[in-house]
Amino acid sequence: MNRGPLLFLGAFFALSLSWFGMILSPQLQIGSQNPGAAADLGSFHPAPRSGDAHAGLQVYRAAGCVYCHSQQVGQGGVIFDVALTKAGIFTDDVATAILRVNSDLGRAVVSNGVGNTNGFIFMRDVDFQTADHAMKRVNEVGGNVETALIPKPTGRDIKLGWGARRSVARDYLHEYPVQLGSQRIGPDLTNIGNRRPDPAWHYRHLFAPKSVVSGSAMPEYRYLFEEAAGAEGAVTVKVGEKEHQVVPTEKGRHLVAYLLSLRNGPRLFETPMPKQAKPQATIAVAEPTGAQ
Amino acid sequence: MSDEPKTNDPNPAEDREPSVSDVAVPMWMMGLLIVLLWFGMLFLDQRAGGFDEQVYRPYPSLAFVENLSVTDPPPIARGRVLYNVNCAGCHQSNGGGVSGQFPPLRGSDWVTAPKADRLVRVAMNGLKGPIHINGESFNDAGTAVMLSVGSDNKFNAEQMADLLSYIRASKDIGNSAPMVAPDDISDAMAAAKSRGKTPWTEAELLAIPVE
Repeated sequence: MNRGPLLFLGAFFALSLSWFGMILSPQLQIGSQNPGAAADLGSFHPAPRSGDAHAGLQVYRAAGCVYCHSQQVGQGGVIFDVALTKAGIFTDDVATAILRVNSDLGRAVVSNGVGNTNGFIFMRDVDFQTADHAMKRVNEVGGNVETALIPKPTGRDIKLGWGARRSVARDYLHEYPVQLGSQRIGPDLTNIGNRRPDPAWHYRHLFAPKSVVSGSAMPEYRYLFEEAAGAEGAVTVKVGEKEHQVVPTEKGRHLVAYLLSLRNGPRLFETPMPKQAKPQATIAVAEPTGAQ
Repeated sequence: MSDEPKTNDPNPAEDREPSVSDVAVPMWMMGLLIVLLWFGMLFLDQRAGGFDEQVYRPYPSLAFVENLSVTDPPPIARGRVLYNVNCAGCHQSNGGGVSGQFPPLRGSDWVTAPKADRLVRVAMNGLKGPIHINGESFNDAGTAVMLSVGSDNKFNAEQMADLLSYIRASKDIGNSAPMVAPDDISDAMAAAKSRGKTPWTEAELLAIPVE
């Protein structure tokens, strides 16, 4: 060891580089995020959690849900709709311009749409270059014509109804520790509160997953329940031929409150999407059987 | 201590301390590293969205995202109207104020404080006397008085929250503090309402915690 200090400095430099890259710079980048205003609702996002839901995160953690369920919606890309929001004074020229950029539309449809003051979507599901080109073509008519780009998130997760948009750092401000998950043996739970809004469904599902989702690979979480025939608020679960009357324990209630609080959030500044887009409330179509 | 080598050691070479000799790093390796570094920089420059916290894939830059998110949040939009009617006359429509006379709202430590308790009182009851903003002193003579703009129940808690959200979080004013929710300021509103039209002084306000 004739170069001890040099070797020490080399190792120190390598380790501190990773500290700068993986701890300090993310902290500077997103470490000071606050619950911010959602673009549509005038509300704050993420919304504060009830005490039950807050405690439910620890039940979720203890039950190991994270080993089979992720909480992160990916977004493959974005496609655009182009809308005419204001036709201006040269309506005929605008109609001609629209027909030129999208000849699939009939003249009657276009002249009808130009007269519609609520906005007229004259191009759907195109990439940014096409949309931008179409907007320029229509805007250059002049006369106070106004067009708007409507970005629509796309991707497998969004198609499955797991969320209306990708997850962003701000979605996780109330999660500690964040239950991102890396396995999808079950479906993603980012939006489970919107997809399955009924607490009774969750109670049945946790007590006996196969009673509501055939072929489910999920284990039964019966320790979150007590059998209590005829008790107030008891949930009836049919397992095979046998009917169970069960009441959730405190932990069971907390867990379900937490699950219901999981909602793929509203439109944020950093996640542009159409105003009316709402995460789907049901998943009747998209669940692959056996993956629940 | 004896310098005698251990004769019963089967592998005397292991007794020697390992040492580093002087061999220069080959030039081709330096060249390769520089080229790799250059490509890495290029990659980040094109795809990292300027390392902005509000830019996510697939969007390339903050300007692109801004272009798509043209609409303001409703509190900001409502607050802008209230501000332009009630405040812009003195504080200017960009929040810059008038040097030495009307204090600026842009970048002011009074405006961007974590809580809005002082702001509510100033907007409701007014302010008189000298005041220090970011270390700069305004109204030294103490003659100018900010009038009570919110008294006579002109603003309810929602409107006050909109107005304060606008001066704290809008791009027009140029601040990026958190917005204000009506529930957060209900206590301060009640306190300010009971005070009537008596303007506050800097010393009185500093006694109110905003952390």
